Amino acid sequence: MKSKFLSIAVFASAFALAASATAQQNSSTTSGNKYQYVQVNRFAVEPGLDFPPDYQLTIDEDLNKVLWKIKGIKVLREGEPLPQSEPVLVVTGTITKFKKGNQAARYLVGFGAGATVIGAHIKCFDAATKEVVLERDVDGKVIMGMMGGKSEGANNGLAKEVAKDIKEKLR
Amino acid sequence: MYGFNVQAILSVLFLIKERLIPMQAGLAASQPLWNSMRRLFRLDRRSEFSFHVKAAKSLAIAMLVVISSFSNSFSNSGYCVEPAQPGLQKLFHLVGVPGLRRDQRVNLAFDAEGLSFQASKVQYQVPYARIHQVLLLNSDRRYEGRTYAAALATYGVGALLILKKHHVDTVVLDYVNERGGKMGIVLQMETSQGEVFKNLMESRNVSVEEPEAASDISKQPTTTNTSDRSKQ
Repeated sequence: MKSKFLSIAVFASAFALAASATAQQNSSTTSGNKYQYVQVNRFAVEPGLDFPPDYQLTIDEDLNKVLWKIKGIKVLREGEPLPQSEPVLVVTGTITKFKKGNQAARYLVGFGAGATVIGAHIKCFDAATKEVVLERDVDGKVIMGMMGGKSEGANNGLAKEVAKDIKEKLR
Repeated sequence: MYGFNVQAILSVLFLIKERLIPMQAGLAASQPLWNSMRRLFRLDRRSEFSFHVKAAKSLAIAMLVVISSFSNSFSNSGYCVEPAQPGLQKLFHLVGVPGLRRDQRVNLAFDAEGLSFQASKVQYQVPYARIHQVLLLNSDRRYEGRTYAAALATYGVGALLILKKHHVDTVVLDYVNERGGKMGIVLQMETSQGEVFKNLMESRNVSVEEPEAASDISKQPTTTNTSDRSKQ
């Protein structure tokens, strides 16, 4: 009986420690940022590349949605006035690669057949100084999923990768 | 259309239910058609037919899939658009409306001030004055849920339904928020609804552009997925 109580107490204390550590990490993410504001500009398309306008808009919306979930960051849209006193990180990008893919091939064939791929070159810079903070090639892919996975999922994948890079950079 | 659908679904459900609670023999004897149905689904325990319950259930699911496929083709003819109120029902939301998931159904109403997006718990309005550009594109979508049901019902063969593309119209709505920030909404609707959408928007002095004229957002010709409507 005594050992049971002891083991429960150990587990409870370990859980409490882990929870407090996570909370501390989250708060350090929010407080340690130089940039509290991130402005996302709509991605351009490389000349000569066929890219659907609905995909282009979806990347913008997905990226805004994903960045909103990062604590301590306020996301601004392209065209919104920037705060004067605060540093702002501007996110720009160019779509460099697009492979439409085929959901039926993904589902019926598999092994990477029919994959949807969207590649982009992103550049993040300080709005005031124009100093480049982050420059990277990212991509979003749909290789498999429920019934082959929706091709539009590549937009979300790309947005998540961009958000992950920004989050790591701001940490 | 909906009446036909509901009636068909109810009759299939009734058949399944009656398999569990057999009717009296006298009633069945007075109905030859019903009698043959009972034999088919082995509702009569004395029947010599060797259809299994699983087979009956599979048939029922397959019937549902076929009926829903027909209902989709009927809706392409424009029957699902309610003429009484200016609005479009059951559009597919892809992205842009806060609080809505991807592929969630949304109703669109054309109010005096702007477009009103309505779902079960979400109501969102975009004033006409803030709309910068509206594109209407031809695209296609696949119904995974239907394919999954067909695959289950037919022991995998129905998965070939994934090859069938459903032609839809994609609306790309480009607007600005109250602070001047660029926003966007992407919706998909039946092809007949696309025409209604275009007419309703133009009646409110908002021009709907075809892909060839859409240079501001895309700056590119459209892909094979999203083709030019004027070519068709």
